[in-house]
Amino acid sequence: MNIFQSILINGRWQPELPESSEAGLILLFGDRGKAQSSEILSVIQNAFTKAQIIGCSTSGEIMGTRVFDQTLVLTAVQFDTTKISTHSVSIEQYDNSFIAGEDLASQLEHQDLKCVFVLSDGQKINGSELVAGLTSSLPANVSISGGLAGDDARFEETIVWHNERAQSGLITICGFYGDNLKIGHGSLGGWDSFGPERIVTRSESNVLYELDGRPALELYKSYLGEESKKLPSSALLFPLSIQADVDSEPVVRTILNIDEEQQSMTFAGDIPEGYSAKLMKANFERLVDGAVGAASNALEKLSENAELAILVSCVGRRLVLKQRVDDELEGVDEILTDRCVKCGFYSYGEISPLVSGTGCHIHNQTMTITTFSEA
Amino acid sequence: MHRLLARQLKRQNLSDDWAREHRALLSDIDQAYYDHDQERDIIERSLDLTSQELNERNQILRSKLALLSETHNKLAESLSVLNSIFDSTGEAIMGFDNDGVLLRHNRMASQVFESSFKKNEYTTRDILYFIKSKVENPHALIKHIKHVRQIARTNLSGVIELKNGEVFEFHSSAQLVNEDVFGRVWCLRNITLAKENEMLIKHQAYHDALTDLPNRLLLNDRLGHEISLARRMGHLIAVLFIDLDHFKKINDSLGHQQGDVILIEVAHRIKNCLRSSDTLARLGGDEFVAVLGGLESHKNAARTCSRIINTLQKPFIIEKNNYYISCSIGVSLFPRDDLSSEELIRKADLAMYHAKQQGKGCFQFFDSALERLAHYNLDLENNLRKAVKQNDFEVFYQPKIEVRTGRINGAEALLRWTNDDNKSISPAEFIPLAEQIGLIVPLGYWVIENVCQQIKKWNEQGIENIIVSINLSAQQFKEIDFVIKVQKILRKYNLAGNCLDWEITESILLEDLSSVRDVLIGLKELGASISIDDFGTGYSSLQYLQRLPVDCLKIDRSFIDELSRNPTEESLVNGIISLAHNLQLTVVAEGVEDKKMVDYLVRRNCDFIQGFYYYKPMRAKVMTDLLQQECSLPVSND
Repeated sequence: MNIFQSILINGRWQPELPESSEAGLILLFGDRGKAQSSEILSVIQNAFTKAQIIGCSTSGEIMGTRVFDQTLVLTAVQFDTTKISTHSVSIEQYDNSFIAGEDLASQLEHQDLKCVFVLSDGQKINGSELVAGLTSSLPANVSISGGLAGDDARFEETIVWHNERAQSGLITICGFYGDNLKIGHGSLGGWDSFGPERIVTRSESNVLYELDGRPALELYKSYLGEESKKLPSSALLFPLSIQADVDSEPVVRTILNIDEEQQSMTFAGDIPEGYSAKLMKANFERLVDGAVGAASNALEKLSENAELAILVSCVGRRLVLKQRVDDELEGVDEILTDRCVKCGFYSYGEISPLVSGTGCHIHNQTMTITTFSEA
Repeated sequence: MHRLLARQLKRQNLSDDWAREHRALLSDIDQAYYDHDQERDIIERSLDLTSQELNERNQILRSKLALLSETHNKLAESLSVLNSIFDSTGEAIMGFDNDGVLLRHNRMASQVFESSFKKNEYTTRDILYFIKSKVENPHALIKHIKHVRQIARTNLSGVIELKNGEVFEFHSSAQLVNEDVFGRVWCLRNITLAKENEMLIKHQAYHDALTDLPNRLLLNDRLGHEISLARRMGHLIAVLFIDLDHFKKINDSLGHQQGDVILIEVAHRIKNCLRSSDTLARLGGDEFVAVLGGLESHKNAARTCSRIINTLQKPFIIEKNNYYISCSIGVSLFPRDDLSSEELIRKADLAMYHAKQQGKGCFQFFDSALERLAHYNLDLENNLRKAVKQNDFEVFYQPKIEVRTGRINGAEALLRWTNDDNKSISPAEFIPLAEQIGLIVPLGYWVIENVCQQIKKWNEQGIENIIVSINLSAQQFKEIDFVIKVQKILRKYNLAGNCLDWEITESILLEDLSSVRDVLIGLKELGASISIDDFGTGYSSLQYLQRLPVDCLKIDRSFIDELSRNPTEESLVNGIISLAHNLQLTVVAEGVEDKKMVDYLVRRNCDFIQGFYYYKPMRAKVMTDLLQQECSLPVSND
């Protein structure tokens, strides 16, 4: 596996892009304006004539142990034997996210398919439905990971790109084929739930209206105080932990948008009625520990060191950690070592199998890591 | 710049150049301070809100808990009320689950089973054992139980009889909660006493309380059954109407309580004369009816009547004294006399009256002549009542001749009744009837008044010293104010009492002698004389002649009649005259019809003669003419 990495900062690629590269896959994370620029695209395509490009806008793009804003981070991967296949669909063509996911996955050749990496619009789709749709049409042993595009903390528009397509509402996947490819997954949060347990009394798929019979938005505003002016991003300070019943595993949901008129909040995954819900708050140490834990889990299944790691971390973590966001990246780096190339982004939702290894879910407020190595 | 950072920089006395040089670092530090403050604010705010929310929830929980505790108390209270109702109800209640396991039972249920198990807790097994060992017909009940096991929603009710005679009413219903069957409740109620009371009431409705014999209702029923049976088998039935003679006297002298004792004994004795299949009923008072079914001949009935009469003639011993009663029995026969039970009883009753008239202590079969007589008597009675109202009577007078002077000394007043058909009715017919139906008293006063009125008229016509004899009946003696009323009538017509003579029969003397004596003395005091009518036919004791204020004896016409046929009777008439004269009494011979008789009586010094030889009874007007003629005749002195 041969990897080249560069960042477009202040209009310059650092380091300079190669004149010609054999790389087959380019992961491109960064500013949505830059990504939509045909000028930048043609520069990339000229340098990497054989590469499939996938990427998305972010709430901070990761390169190594640092997070950047208003840049483009390019990671070009040349696999030794691994084959890839990329596809994309627009949500506008489908009635719902499930069908879109189902259709998209069906475009992949299933033979020898090892894993799927997915990047999706972060606001127009329902992450839970998308994952369910993908899962339903993929073989059970194929793992799915990825994330939802971000838009800084603006929550206005997210962009996904696939080769020449760079648009809102797009979902793109990359299928990896080959026996030599080893993949690892890790996903951990590190948030603490607090306050009273509430019941979801009114919701519609991923739109939450009421908790305990009170408007959910009103509850958030009272907790946010002054910060409520910065909604919806400030709502990321208090993600929601939801649970079907005491015996089931709690799931974390992060906010994507609010609707003042409806007094509703849109989350990155479903909030079913009757579930119990608790507010969560950050614990800095545990957030960093969570990221480190995710890295360890991602390495567990690899017999050797990872060569490439794609980090998808939640925008909520960045908002809370602020200057200390580097702490989690450095923590991850300590585990993965500097021999592993790290790229990724702060997202509006993370997609990864559970630690237990079964199924694939949309996560929120986590650091999700997918590691690759080729024998 | 954050105030804390500004203060820290100031304390360190750092130059502006240093600050400019480290602007990026300071900016980061400054931002970190602000971030920290913001984080703290958010956390503090969260803590406040959380504790506030938790307090609110706590408060809600507290009030819910209070409400719950209140509800719990109310439930406990209501449960205890329900339990006490459950235990205090008169029904034994048992609740079973769907598998037939006994879940609950109340105190009453314990009482039902206590004697059987000698313990407080019972299982379904115990109850089944109870059913098998104690219930009279366990199979029927077990069948019921199997039925409800198969069809869980069935409701059952019925009656269970125990071997010890106790009777329980039961009902069993499924316990439903929202259409689901949760079990079954059985309720038992001991109705033994109620059943017994019901039987007793039924018994009382058909039996006489004193003797426990069937009453009229049951008699009719039994007689009806006997008639149906006799129709099929071609047998005879005899209905015996038994009435005690003189029972009223026993009741009056011994009191009702002792009278009741005798009635019970009478019932017992009659019953002993009957077969077990015969029915003896008491209709009330001293009336009994016996129904003898399946007879071959009326002779069987006659024999039974004799047995009854004999057994009742034996003395009744009350408080060591012997009392005697007899009975009169009337007998009617099915099918000869009638086919309906009511008519058979009525005809036996009629025959019984006839037996009474025959002199009591005997039995009489019904015959149709008897019935005709009864109808005649009934008509007579109705007409007599009408006659009293219409004043259809008239007083006739039969003169008495004083033997010594040959002149009319007085007359006997005799009542005559001419009915609507202008037919004269004999006093022998209507006087006993008037006595029987209580009309003799008003009729008696009417006669007295009429006689007094007539004497007054005679007096006014110059006919004086005529003594009129008036017959008195026993019932008139019983009038408490009889003497006073007579006195009033005498005063009304301004007459002296000596213008009247009162004729009484010996039979009156059978009544309470002392009260008869009082009345006679009262009449004597008014100046009247007293005659004994029909002397020699009734009372055997002559003692009364000494004890009562009697003036005259009237020799019964039967002696006089006999005298004309058989001269050997002479001595009897002669004896009566001698007896009277020895006692300083005068003698009247009545029914004298020929010269020979007159001569005889004159020879024997009889004082007065009354009879057809001289005069028949005559109307007052004829009598007046006769008396006026007498007055104009010169007085004979021979």
